[in-house]
Amino acid sequence: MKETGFFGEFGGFFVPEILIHPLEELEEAYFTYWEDPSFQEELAWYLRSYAGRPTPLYFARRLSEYLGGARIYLKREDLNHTGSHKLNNTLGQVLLAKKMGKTRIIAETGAGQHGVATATACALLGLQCRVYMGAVDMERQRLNVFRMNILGSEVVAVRSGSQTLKDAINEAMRDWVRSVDTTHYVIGSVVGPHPYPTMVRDFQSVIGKEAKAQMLDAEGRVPDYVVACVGGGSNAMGIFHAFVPHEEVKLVGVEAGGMGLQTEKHAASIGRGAPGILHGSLSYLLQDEFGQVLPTHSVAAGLDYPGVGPEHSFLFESKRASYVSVEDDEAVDAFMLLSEKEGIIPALESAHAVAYAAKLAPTLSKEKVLLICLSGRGDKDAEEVMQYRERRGIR
Amino acid sequence: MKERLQEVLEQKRKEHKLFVPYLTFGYPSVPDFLELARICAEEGVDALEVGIPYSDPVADGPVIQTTSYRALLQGVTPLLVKETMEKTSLSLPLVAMTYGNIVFRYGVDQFARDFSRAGFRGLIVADFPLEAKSLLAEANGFLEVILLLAVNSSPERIARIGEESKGFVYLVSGKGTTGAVDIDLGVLEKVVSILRSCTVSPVLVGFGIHSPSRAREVASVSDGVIVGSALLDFILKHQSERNWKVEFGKLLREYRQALGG
Repeated sequence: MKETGFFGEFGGFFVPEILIHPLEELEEAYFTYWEDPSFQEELAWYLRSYAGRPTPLYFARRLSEYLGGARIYLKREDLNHTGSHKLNNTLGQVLLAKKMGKTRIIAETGAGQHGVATATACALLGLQCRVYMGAVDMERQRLNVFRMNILGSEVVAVRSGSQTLKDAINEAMRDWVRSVDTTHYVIGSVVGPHPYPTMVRDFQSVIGKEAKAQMLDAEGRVPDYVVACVGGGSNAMGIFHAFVPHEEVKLVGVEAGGMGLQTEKHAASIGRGAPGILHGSLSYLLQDEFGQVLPTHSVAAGLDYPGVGPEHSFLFESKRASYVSVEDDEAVDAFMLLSEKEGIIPALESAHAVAYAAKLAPTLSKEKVLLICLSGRGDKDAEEVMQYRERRGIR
Repeated sequence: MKERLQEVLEQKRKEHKLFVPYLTFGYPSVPDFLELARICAEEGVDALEVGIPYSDPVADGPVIQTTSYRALLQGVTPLLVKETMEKTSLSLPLVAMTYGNIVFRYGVDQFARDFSRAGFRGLIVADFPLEAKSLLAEANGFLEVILLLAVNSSPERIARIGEESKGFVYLVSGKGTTGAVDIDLGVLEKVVSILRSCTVSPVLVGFGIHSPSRAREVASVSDGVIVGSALLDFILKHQSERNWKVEFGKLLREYRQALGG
């Protein structure tokens, strides 16, 4: 490897030796193509004419007035093709895989958004695709399973461990060990061994690049706060990256508080975890005293993950970003709030960012500007929210 | 002072091909595991790999995933492994095999001291490649850190891993997880020949050694084999039968005979 892939003390590549060769190959290809103007041009063309970028920056006037404080802007990744920011990364990686001569793509998925985005990019670019998905997640995200099938991908149910995202990654890594010669593994977040955290961040950095330019247009300055939800943390790294050098911009990552951090049912890796090694990198991790990875919970399947991208751990330790958490109830309330006030149904993942912003905004003056990364749309969550409200007797 | 693992194996390879079983600690139960370990000693295996179960074993196939999962359900922890083995005397060299986070969380220095005291001589960390070895530096003097080598490692890496691996070199037989690998003897032979030019360490091949005849073939191009999934699969399938431990002993004998000695 050319680089060690560390962000401060976090990151690296902790993988079986058999994966070193494909990771070296990937690092080499990634560094080469990322600097190659013709690759950038081709990717930009797909992002523009296929994915529909740039996505709008939207001033949420009614929500801002209702909350009575900071002016709230939404970066509308929900309007990206397939309904979330995930396609930014999968278009980049699948295009790269094609340049590398790979004929087969594998991916993991939690909520199904990354699986759908991968299946979409594979249909577009003509590659074979298999998606690993926890059996529990398949049950709660049936619509996305069907979408992947329509797009020509095979979805494999993972029944080991907790049968969620973490186990889907384990299974995808096992597939990759067997199939390295022909196959590229499209990791969906800023997690995994080097070069994934860097590469996925770079492919997602288009979010922050656009948002910064749009913010300068709209307000003539950078925002005071940037708020994004964090599971593995790809939409957050994507929007944070452009603002990291602007020290006056406060960056806030919102983790899944589930049923409360005092319970064992949450997914707050930074809030309640400790440094550990999972899926190839060293980062904050929810684990027991002996290093066994703990089960997690969130109403948002896409945040239901015990780890977090190593660069987030670095931003946390270096105090450049802060990390808070929002519970299931608050996220569902925010899901309703944004729908009612703005006519935008957010993904439950993104609703975590909305929920925190809704708490923060009233404490700030009208001069302050708050930017939320609205990472995905909530159609996929309609059934989940309906059941959630029924369980709590809300009509 | 106990003899170093590497010296033991270098001596034994003069007599026969090396046979190293892998068992998951605490599977099917802690007393059963200890009895199986004793049977291994009686059947003249050359060392025993003791798997310390981890919740997310990405290098393992279905069999070892199952045995690890069941051991964890029974409350197996690294501390229990250490305490149990401290109280047990086995006349064979022990090697701990686990994943990075187990050692990292325990504390590398403490792990190395504790497990050395409990009778272990070697340590294998399945998800630590050569570059991560520096994180295990504190194990030096307590445990011999055994590195894994793959069939797709570059010649430069093969040489470096050969030089830096202590105890023996663990050559993974092909592309796959434990228990399921298509083995190409020609490829193995090439890797071993590069290793021979840079190290005297014994070279053991593991992953996918599913039968005594396969063990003999693979040993013909190396110093011996590590057998895990095939043995654990036998236990998974037969543990409800009478005399299954006697049959397990017979299976070990078949491997032993196939490898000489």
